[in-house]
Amino acid sequence: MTRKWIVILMALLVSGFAMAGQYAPQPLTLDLVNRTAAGDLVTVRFSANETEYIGCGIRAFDDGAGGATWFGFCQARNEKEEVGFCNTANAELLSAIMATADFSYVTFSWNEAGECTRIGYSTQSFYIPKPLMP
Amino acid sequence: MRMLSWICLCQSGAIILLLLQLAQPAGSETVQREVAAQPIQSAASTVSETEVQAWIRAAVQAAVTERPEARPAVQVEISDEAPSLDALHDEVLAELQVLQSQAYASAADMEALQAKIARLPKTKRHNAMNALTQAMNDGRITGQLY
Repeated sequence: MTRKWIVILMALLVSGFAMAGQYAPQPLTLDLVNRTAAGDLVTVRFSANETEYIGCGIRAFDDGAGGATWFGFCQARNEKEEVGFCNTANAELLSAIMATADFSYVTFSWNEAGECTRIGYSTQSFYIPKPLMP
Repeated sequence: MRMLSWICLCQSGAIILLLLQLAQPAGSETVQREVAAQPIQSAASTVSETEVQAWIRAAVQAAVTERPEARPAVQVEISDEAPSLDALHDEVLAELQVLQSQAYASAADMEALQAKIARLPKTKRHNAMNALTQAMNDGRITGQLY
């Protein structure tokens, strides 16, 4: 009888872990030939080395003429300390940067001049790390 | 009879205000409601015919002046040829050279440089930002923005 309860308890524990949902970390990829970078923020942040990073940001500066100049930028660095950096003043791409969230996957591309040509964010449950599971 | 004419006057005023309100863009809706509410509330008390006419005139005037298209468009164009901006452009290029010579830019250096770049006219601003970006991508300047 006791053995039966132990089996049931074990089954419940196992089923609890099995209901964790998909986890699909996306490590940093930086392709300097095709000028693209990607990775999810959490995985890149907690990678084994202390070199990698990825992300995008926005700045607004007083233009001295009563308006503001907006810059957006995306940047990534891999463990070999190679850097991919791009800038943009394109309003639509600036809007894309604003779509960021805590557990986003980031992807961006740039042209030879260093201008961002593509900025993507995707916020999915499978980027949330397991330690945050209740 | 006099009372009837007041009611007619108030009604016609309310219709005009309603029409004006419908013709307004959403942004000026609050202003219109405040103005429209004034004569309707006061009509319940004792007012003269001239006062009602004055309210309608004021409401119409307010509606016209609050139209966005009635305001003069303020547009500041920065000329690429402005002498002061040439000096700023030279300053930006010089700072870029300094950062390249030291092969490193702190976040503060980058912010300061970008603030200057932001004041340049569009073409020069674009070129300066690209020069900074390319220097970072090919390793002439190491550093990152926060």
